Amino acid sequence: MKKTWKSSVLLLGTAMLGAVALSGTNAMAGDLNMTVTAVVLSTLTETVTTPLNFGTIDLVPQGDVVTINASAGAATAAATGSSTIVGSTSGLITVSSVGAMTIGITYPAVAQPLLGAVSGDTINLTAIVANSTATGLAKVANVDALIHVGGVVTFPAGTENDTYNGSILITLNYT
Amino acid sequence: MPTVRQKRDNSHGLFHLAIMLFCLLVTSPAVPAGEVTLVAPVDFGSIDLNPGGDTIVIAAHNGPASPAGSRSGVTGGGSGLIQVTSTEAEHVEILFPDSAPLVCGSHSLTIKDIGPHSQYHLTGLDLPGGGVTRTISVGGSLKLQGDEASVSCSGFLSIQLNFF
Repeated sequence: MKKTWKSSVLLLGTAMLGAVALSGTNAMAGDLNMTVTAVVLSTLTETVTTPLNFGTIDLVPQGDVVTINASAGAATAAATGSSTIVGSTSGLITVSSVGAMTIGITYPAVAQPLLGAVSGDTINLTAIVANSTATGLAKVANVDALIHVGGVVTFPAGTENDTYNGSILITLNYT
Repeated sequence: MPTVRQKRDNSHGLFHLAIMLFCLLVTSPAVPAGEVTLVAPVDFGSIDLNPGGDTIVIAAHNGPASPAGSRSGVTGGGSGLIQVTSTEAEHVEILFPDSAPLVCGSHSLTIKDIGPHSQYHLTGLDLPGGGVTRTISVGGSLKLQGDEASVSCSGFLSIQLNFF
């Protein structure tokens, strides 16, 4: 009798589960496994190929404005006045990668100080944006992109003979 | 005694049969709740990684989207796509994982923000029924440090769909 009762309970349970399974409650749950992929390429390199160099300037006493206009490509310095300049060159950043992309370039928008190594005096590098490769440069696949950098330095009258150095931060974004 | 026992067993059998018949009578026919089809995987494309690192985002919360970095070049790729349909009106709850691992050779990366960058996160989706199809776009974000070697990565997102 005891055994029979157990089987009755089991059968009742089975029947009830069957009823639930067959009932009109349209609830359904399921897990989906969706594939995710990515390919990472570490071929993109940014190299400062050439630093920005205003050269050696034989400055006229009243001062002068020296410009490197590299907006259309590599350039050398030119003075507004009669100062003479030798050994100048625009800066060059080389971007290499296998992919084609557009390069967003952000130059300093404000004057960048150049510090006299001996005198400690400061002169300013300005107008970098206007005298450098424009942002939105299109890079072709497997071809290096060249970013030319220029600017303007204004030497006031009585500028100390010295070597003036500084650094500028240029940010490159790729899309 | 054996005869009595047999008689009681038969009565239980009839009882069971009656219950089963009752249960069958009160039920309605089984109806498939819905149909789910995986149409496209999540593909972060080919990432020409900025040496300074980057986060690649597929922002598919409003529909199909392409991967984009803020500092890296990304070619190809796209959001994942799921198709759902049902014969009757249904509400579909979609549960996205918080994160998922991507195996990249000997190391791994993590996909994050899957829900916020996917469609119908938190709100779910209403199916009108009648076999009308709706799509669910799936995205996420992938943070890269910038020092990763060139490598192909793959993994899975486990997405749960509950039909009500």
